[in-house]
Amino acid sequence: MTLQARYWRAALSIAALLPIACVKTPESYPIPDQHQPFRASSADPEYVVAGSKDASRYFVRDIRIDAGLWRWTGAQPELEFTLTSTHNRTLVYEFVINEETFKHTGPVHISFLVNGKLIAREIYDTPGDKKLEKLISEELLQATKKTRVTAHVENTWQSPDGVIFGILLKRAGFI
Amino acid sequence: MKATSILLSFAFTIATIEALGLLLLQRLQPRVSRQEQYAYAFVTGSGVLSWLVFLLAAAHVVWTATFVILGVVAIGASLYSKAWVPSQENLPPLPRLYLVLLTTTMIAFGAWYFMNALAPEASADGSMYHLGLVQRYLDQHGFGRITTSMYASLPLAIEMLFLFAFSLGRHSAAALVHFAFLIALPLIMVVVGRRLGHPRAGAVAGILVFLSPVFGFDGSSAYVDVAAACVAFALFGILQIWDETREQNLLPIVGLLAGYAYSVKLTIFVAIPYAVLFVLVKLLRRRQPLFIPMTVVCGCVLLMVLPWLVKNAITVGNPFSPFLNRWFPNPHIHISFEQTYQEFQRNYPGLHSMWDIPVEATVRGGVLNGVLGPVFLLAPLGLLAMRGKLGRQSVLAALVFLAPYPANVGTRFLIPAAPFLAFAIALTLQQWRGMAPLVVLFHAFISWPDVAGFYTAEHAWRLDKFYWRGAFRLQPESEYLNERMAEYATAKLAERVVPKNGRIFTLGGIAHAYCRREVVVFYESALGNRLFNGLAAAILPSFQPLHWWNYEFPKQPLRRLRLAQTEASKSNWNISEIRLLGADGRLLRAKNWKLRSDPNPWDVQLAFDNCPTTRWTSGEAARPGMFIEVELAEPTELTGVRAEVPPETIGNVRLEAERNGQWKELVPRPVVTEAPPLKGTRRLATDDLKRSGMTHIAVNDTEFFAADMTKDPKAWGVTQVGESGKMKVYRID
Repeated sequence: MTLQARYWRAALSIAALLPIACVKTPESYPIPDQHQPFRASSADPEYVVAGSKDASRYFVRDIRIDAGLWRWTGAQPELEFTLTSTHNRTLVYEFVINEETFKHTGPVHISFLVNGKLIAREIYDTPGDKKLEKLISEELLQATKKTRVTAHVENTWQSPDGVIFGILLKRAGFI
Repeated sequence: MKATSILLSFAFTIATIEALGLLLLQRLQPRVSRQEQYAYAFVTGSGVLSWLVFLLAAAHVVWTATFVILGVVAIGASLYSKAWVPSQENLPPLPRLYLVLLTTTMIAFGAWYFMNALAPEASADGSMYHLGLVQRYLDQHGFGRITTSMYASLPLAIEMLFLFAFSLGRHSAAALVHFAFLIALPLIMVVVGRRLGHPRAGAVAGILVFLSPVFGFDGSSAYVDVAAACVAFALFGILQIWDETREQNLLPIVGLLAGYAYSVKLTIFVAIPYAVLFVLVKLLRRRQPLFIPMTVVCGCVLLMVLPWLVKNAITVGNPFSPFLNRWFPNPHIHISFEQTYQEFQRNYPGLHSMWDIPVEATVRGGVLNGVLGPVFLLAPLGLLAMRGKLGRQSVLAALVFLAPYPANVGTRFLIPAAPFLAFAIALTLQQWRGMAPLVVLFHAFISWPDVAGFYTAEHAWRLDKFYWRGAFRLQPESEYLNERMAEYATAKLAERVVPKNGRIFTLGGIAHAYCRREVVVFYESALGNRLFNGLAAAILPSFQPLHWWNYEFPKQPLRRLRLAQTEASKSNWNISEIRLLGADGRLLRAKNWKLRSDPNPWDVQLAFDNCPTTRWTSGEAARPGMFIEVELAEPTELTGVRAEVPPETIGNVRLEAERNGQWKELVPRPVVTEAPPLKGTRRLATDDLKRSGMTHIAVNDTEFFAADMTKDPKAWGVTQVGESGKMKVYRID
């Protein structure tokens, strides 16, 4: 075999290696095994998404009913829920501290109450997304009866036209 | 392990290397002096041994006995064939003053380096991946199929030598092999200087490099940078001899060393174009035949490079992994990760400007990890050497090996180019009477480990103590290592509490080289990235699918739908879940659906698994043309599609449906709503870890989910099984 032939043979051998440098991928994949549901169903009366169409039925006071994903609150927004069970329930309260109001208020102090009983008092040093997640003692809750959740925003901002701005509610309820 | 066993293992490895090198030179019969014969035999022999160990690892016959047989056969063959008999030729002698300078400085500094190399291996990368992989190859008797560590996809030629030594003398024997390259480098520089009529310059350059603090630290640890520099300089030396003699028998060595350089350290791949173009240009200038010389050089390059490319092509589907993933898409490394990693390597925190590099890399060293020594600030003097041919060649080689430096501006990435800079500096200095010895003495004084501490930054890489007690194991190995690295205690903890077949997921903090368990680090693979994102989604709202992108349309029968990205962005496109809404608003999902996506088809199922902590990701910056598709078994009445995404998801995504073989827009943009709250996400995240084969998770107290996991391990579905310092190990229940 001439040296030139050897050279071409070597080149072809290298070219033959290229196809293995591709990962074999099936044409499509099937639906995989499903995990357990991880959200309450949308008909669940135990939580509210503030921007949803029927959110107002959970609002007791101090929460504005207007358009948008989130809802402005005043100083003492209150919500109510009907729980099907009181065992091992966690209150989730997700909200946003607005950057503009934060400039006026500084760190925001908020007390959270369930059926009038204080369950947490938090200080938020920065604006942005916030989340309170707290296991609620069974004694504070009553199944089938209304459960009230109140947030006392201790330092709010009052606009020049007299409107009080607390926090922006995203979603809240029991999981 | 006792120091004598380590030293014997090291000696056996070096003897095998030298024997193989001498056999190769005997076979090729280039006309070289006895000094060149032994110097180049070491470098070429290391390439041959590395290549043979690669074959053994690929064949899964990595046992201590295999290496002993290989070594005995190589040494025996070299003795039998009298390959050790020295050449009759001698190079011109080194002037006495320079011989004294070279000998004394090498003995004084070499003693420090030797102690550090012999002491238990405590370097960061050495104890993590260089020897971590070596330990793993030895445990599994070969390469195996490692897809969870990007480091396993790098060419690891020096690690093959480490594997040989490690199998006999463990960690320190491996570090000593690198130390051997540190000794060989200045000797080769002297040999090149003597051959090319500049013995003084060779000696001065060799000393400048050998005494450099970063060379001393790196070369006495289980790193590979000094070996890379040694191979690069040996290539330079052989090319100069070939240019002088045009001896065909040198060309296989040229190709072998150029290919070997790539296999030692990816960043000196430039050795290949350098060698090939050097030979090509020189041949063209003299109008000599090209075909055979170029075939020989290129063939030998391929011989050294191809094994690593083929290994990667088979293992991870990308011959150049962990790079060029855009060219060779694969499920193991995301393109976005590659870009982030490269960006990370280019930017050292604390380095404000590229103009800071000269002082930082030579004097301070706190930001770029180590210093070459202030004498290297004389590098511009090297330009004066360009009046001579050797000076021009040195500067050219320095520029070639500096070319990849911007990809990683750490000081040790200057190591491959530094010997050429040193040679150019030395060529200039030797022209001024008495200047070269003065500079050498100044460099020796200022580089002495006790002195260097006065001007370098506190955390700059340098040797700080003469660890003779640790080196000779008068201080127990575990005590020595515990004093120097928290990762050692964690590694031993993991060995105690994790069963042999266990698999640990961690964000870092375990010295792999001392842990005989499989450790998966979050940033080293696409799987690690995914599991990290899952842990983040367990508690961080910004990672959770808290937004619904709703696409509603009039009821109609549809079979194939897809979400198509129409906007470019700097971020990846991520989707946690895609749900189809039936005629009555009911959510549909059936086993016989077909799922597709482009890019990253391998993860498409994660958008259909009903798990909020997993998600499909494009794995690269979003761009128009990307899609994720679902095909139903038959046309079905649908009223909408919902994509559940993290709140910060950006981009413009439209819903398309296939009609008559063509994709048509169905809904141009979604209505975004807040999603109901999530529950049980912590457990879902650890479930995903378990499904991916992890049995344990090692968590440092400083990590973002550490406090939450400590507070409520039950919610995470884990049980703490051990603790060492700030690190806790949990079993996933």
